[in-house]
Amino acid sequence: MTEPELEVDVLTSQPRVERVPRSHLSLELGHLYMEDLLDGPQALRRHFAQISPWAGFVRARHPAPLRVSTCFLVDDYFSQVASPKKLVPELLEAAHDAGLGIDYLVRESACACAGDVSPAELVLGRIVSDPPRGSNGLRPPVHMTGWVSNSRDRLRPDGLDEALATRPWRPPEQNGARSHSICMEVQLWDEPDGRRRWSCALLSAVWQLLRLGLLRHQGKPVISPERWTGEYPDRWEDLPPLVQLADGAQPFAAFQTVSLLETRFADVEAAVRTILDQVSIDPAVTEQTAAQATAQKVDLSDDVVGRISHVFSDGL
Amino acid sequence: MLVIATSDKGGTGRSVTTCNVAYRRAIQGDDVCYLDFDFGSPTAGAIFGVERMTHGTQAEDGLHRYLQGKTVTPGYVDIWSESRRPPGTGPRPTGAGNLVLYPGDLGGGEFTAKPEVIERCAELLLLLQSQFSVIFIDLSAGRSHAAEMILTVTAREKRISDTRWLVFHRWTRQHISAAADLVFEERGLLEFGHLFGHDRDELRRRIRFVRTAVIDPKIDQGLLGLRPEQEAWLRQVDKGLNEQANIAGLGRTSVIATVPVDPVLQWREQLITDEDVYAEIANETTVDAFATLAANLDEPAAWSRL
Amino acid sequence: MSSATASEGTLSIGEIRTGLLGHSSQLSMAETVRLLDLVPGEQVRHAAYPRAYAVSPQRLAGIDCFMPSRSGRHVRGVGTFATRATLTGGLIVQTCSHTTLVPSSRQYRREWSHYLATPGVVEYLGRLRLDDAAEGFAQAENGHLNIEMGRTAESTVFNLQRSRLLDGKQPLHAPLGRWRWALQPVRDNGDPGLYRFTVLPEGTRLIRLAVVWPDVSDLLDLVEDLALHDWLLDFVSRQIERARPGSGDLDRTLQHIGPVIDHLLHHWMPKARVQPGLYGLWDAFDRFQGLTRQWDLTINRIRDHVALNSLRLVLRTESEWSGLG
Repeated sequence: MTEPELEVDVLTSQPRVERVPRSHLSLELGHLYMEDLLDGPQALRRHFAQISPWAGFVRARHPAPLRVSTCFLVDDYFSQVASPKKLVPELLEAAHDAGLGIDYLVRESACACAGDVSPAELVLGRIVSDPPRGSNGLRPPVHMTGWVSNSRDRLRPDGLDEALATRPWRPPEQNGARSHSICMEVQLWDEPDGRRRWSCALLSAVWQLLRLGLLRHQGKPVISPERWTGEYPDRWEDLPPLVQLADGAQPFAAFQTVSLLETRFADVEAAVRTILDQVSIDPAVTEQTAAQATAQKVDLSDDVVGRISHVFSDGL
Repeated sequence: MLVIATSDKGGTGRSVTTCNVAYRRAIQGDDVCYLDFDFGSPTAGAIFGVERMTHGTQAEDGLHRYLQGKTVTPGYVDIWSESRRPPGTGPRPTGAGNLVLYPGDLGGGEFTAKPEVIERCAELLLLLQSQFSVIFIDLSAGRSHAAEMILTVTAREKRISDTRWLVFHRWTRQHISAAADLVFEERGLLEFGHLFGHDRDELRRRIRFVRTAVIDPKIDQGLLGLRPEQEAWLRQVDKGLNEQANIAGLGRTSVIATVPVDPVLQWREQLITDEDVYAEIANETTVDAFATLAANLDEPAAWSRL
Repeated sequence: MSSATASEGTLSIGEIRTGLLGHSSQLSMAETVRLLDLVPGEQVRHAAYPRAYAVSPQRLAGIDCFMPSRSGRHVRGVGTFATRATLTGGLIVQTCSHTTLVPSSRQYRREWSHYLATPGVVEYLGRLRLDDAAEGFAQAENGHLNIEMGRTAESTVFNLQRSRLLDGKQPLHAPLGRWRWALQPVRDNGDPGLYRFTVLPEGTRLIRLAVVWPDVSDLLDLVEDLALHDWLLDFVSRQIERARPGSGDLDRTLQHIGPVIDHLLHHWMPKARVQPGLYGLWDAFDRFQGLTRQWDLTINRIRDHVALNSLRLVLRTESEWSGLG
């Protein structure tokens, strides 16, 4: 007797993730703290003049029909000193004068909270700690403590009685170091007044993942661009998390990102890389992105860190 | 059901009695686990006859380390298969439940009851509650952080609702007053319990005393070879102790068990099996006391008289 | 959900824990989906037929340690293992931590993001004898596990039992069932494949399979289904043993058997989540271990017992009535 051919679909609900349209490259035209923005239009002009040659170089490497979108992140999370009504027009004008167009404006606080969803929480839940040698599943991962690390810190007390952990100093050791170590300890949050405050490094890591279009909540993208044409409001929270400033802009999300930054951001961005090195992407999103890349003949790195680039410059 | 064993002084036979009661309860058909929270000297491994854990586990995964977040889960031992003395030398008796020991750490020492430690403790107890019908917790003698932790967890976590406290004491003047202090006096169970959110009267209703190493002049006369003068003297003392116990709040109605002196327990702390009784090494009255206490742990009559 | 594809030179290993939720009734599907939300934002997959079943997204943990071995060989591996939780019938919880060992193309450890790009895979650096590793993990009583996946599977049950969705008033206390498995893919050369089942003295089940089947996640479903039914049978038999039917203690019998009838018996549904192509393996296991035969006997015993006691009650009532008359 032969068995009848049966196709059994055991699960009725397969994970479904929404596709996001993607540019080839997301180009970040600098990142400024609120204090920097306060220095007035002159400071903004100086900034854009500095990065303009680099932007030109990047664009030349991605000629049409390759799609490039530009974006700018405003820090409204750690302080809010100037209103969008005053600041946004100044910013756009300064960029325009340097021959640069900003397609998308993002509020940094959107990385902490976008509507009902906290992108930062989503990323935190996806961190898989870089295991020091000897990790075999017995010890709980360290990121639960609010830090990520790329190394084994031998100073971290491991004995039962923490007060007695006064062993002689032994140097920390980078995980997988081949000869010498560079050890990073990155703080993800603190709780100064009982409320969680995300670190700049974590929010910047979220920002990279948003630009790469790799975050989903229940299959849906966590932020989508909203076109804004009217006057800018007095308060930042009255502005959508992701504002589209130009008609006909290429998609916000991209296969790869490049950020043009002043050198003083190098520390934060190194921390961002340490964090992203330890973020696992939803396998369904990974799969979909890879398929999208293949269809568009884009050569895409398997790991996330390989998809982000930085240019650090204080002007040449 | 959560059964917490505590005592003010050491040497009350708290651990050995609790291990034996856990063993009896498992034989009676319940799935039972035993948590060795006696962080100063984790001896349950020795009593259960698990040689590799005579003074707690060496695998760095005992309860201390678990509570401090140094291991993902605490290690455990299946007594039926791992004990080197009976009962471990044979398969699980028909009709008996599981009997599992969660050992302390070798040289673990005390620890502080930080909020995350309390969280982990609650998580552990909830998990065990879904697996075992009786969870025994053996606390160290005296006031301890472990006792505070348990009081806090049981006050906060409403899903761990059926909790019973057994306070062990020997049948002497000093032990009676020490046990009374531990429960009723300043910084005692009731005061701390109230501080952590327990209703004082409700908590009081959940506490019973266990008298250990008690000499019964009538029964033990032959055994001890008592002269009539000694027997008379013992009766006199016994009467005095009863009066003291009544006044201290340790009278008959709040006593759940009286465990007689047993030579086996005096010389070696171990489980007493029925075979030991048949071989006339151990006394039947001892085993009876353990079995009765095991059965009375959730016998309404034993808990309703206060 | 991406899963490793079996190929030669690879070995999939894992641990399963099976238990009962600490809750008074079955969780609804909506509650189940909230319970199994192990990775924030990621979706819980679920099915209502042939019975309620839901699978959580997978949570990863990183390791850099020696690989399992029977002989004590030291081969280092780096990568992640994945943990998922499933809920069957809104009541029976299973957690499974698993990984697939594959040869590394380099002789050194790479940057961590490389390993995160292939979740649930550990790359071994050096020469791993797959038989030695499989035996050490899932056949030998004193093998060197080296990877402590069972702890993560177990701590995932810890986390679930703490959920605010649960009331802690479970009708039954059920010990965790523990399974450890190793799956080796083999070339299709007509060999029947290898299948070894061992029960350790403390009750842990070890199963080793060497089969022709490309998809590890299908095999995972198979082993989970076996583990669930083995646990169900074991637990129900224990309850009957405890109930001591025929002892005359009707209350005791009812106390132990009643909840089993109310909450567990109807969850016996072999192969409900197994790919049809793997039915043969399920049946082979069943033939050797006699799961179905034992289950049928057990169920009949319960039914006969219930029938007999009903009859006794009727007779007693009748005689009391006639006594009155």
